[in-house]
Amino acid sequence: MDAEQEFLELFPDTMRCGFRNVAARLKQIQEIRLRVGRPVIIYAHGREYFLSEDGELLYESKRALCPDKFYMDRLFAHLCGYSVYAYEDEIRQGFLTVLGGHRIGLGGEVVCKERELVSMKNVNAMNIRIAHQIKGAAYGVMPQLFEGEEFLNTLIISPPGSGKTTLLRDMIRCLSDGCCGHAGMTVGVVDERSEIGGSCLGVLQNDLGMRTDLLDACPKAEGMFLLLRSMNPRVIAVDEIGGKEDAEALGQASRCGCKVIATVHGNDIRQLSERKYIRTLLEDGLFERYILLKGSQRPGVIGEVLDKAFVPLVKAAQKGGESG
Amino acid sequence: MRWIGALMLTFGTTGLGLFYRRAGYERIRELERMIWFFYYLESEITYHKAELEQICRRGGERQKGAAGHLLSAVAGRMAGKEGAVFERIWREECEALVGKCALKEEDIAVIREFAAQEFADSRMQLIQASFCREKLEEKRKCLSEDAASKSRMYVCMGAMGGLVLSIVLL
Repeated sequence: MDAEQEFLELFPDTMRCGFRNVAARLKQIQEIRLRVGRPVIIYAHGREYFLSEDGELLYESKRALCPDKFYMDRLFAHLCGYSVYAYEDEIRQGFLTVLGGHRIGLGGEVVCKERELVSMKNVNAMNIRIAHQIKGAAYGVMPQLFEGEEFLNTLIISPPGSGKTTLLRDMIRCLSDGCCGHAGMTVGVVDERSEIGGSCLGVLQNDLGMRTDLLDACPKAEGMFLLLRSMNPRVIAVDEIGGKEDAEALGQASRCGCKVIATVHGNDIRQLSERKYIRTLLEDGLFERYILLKGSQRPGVIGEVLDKAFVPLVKAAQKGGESG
Repeated sequence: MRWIGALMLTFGTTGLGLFYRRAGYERIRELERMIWFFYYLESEITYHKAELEQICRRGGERQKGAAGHLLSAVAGRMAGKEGAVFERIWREECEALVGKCALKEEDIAVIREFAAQEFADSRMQLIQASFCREKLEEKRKCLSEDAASKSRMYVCMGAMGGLVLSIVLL
């Protein structure tokens, strides 16, 4: 089934007509934002468009479709396959992952029990983030991440929305299947927010390679120890590290002879060193390669690759897929 | 010839009585299948957290009769991603059973109620499933209590009716 059809099937039959145009341009679309009583906004090509009731993309909000509460409830129930219970754990975290690996961020009334978030009701906002797996995004950078036959511990650094996860996903696939003359290796992935694998009810929606084992919706630190104990990975990959536990688990994994790839939010090394636990990792010299991305204006574009001593290896702005 | 005719008449009416008896038992069996499904649904929601489409498909594979047919049809339409809301699919498939199985319209109305409201969480879905199951259990209990006496009555009335008719005609 093609991605367009898969995307259209996310919507009930009565709404599909309005999203046909969007489906046809799916490759260019980053986000679709729906809010009760507000115009539907579509983000594509770095700018925003409004969606009309008959599915046209508009520059102005005058004729835009404004979903009502009933529309949102219907869509929410349909996205959950009329089985809200099956997605309760995800909804508690404020999102759900659907077929195709698309992530639906949710806004609404949060239900708490004894100060603990239990569920969400009266969903009034949805942010449909379209999943784009770009195969080949990591080709340009992969040769820099090996020393002989050995893969080097790598940290990907960029602000949000710059293509960190896309690059990480493709690096995992390349390592797992083998690339640039290196044989494939077992990769363990801890996917705390189901972003890397885009797992929907246990089924991976993205290609992570043939030698990849994935722990979905698992806290990073616990997941890394679990993988070390049970799956014997050669490389462990995690997304968006930050806390003390993450840093300790990465150190532990590295000391066990495992190689690690991680991503972190930040603009540069200086900014990272302001964060206590990341600074420890930098000072300990855990990472042997640092990949800095260009930023959200040019998602997926690699700015620099630094070595262990923060000396640039590749400085040319190069889009991974093009140079592969 | 008269005696042969009388015998055939008696056998025919007894057969009719047996048919009604069988239909009564078949209705109970169909109700039991649906009750099983609602128990299965509740445990799947509680422990496995499978999607409704998956639950209906597995239920349909395990059950025979009208219940199996209903569940397979619902799962098929949901898997087909035609985009119809679950409430509509369930209602239409329930309505398609009317007159085609041993279940009476009143039984189907109870089954149809399962999808009558949209679910906000697992608790609501569980409550709705157990509400339908309990109603079906009540029906099954009433029918089972009367089943033995009713089935005896159907067979006896069939046989006796045939005999009386034969005597009158002879």
